[in-house]
Amino acid sequence: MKVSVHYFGLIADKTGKSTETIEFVEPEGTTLDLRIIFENRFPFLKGTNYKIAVNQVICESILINKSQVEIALLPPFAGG
Amino acid sequence: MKNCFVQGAITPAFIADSIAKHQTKTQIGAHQIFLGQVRNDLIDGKEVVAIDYSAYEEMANNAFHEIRENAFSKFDLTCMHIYHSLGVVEKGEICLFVFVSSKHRKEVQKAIEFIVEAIKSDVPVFGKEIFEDESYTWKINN
Repeated sequence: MKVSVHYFGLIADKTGKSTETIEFVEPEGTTLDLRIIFENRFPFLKGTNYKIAVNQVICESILINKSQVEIALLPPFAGG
Repeated sequence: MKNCFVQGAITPAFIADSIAKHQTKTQIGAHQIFLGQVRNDLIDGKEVVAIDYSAYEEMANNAFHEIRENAFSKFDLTCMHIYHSLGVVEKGEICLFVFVSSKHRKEVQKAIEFIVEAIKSDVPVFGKEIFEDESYTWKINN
């Protein structure tokens, strides 16, 4: 399952990218813990305060299926 | 979905124009306005000269929309507008403009606090605080 991932703020800075496509090869119906996946990919995240959004809803896991998924890693908000 | 983002600083002229546009809505008796301005914070001896705002725009506009809907259902409001800057806003310039209107003052006083606090906690906007020497740090709301 291919997903688009968006990085923002401090996280985009440290990963050196704002967006990328990732492929999950696990079988359909598997639930993945996104925090563990991204912290393995980018170890600096272990010491970072951030939220994860799946299709713009704050969520920590993803269910492997055929739908279009957009993931975002969101550092602390600074609006206003 | 309404786009609440404005490129660059929100100008005083824009704010005055918004007020002017509401003069025909004669059922309104009170407005409350919140303006967020970039402050020259001192961090480790360095002065903030600007904030460069970025956002997860689609999710942020959905969040602004939800804040609007919640405010309209909690308070008896006639009108509400939210504008937030994207890009570089210099110290002294306005980066957030919230404008609420109602028949009576009590509603707008309560609504403005609700809306501003919700914006600060729920909207995925990010700010790079830029110092005089062009170094920067990432802003975190408290």
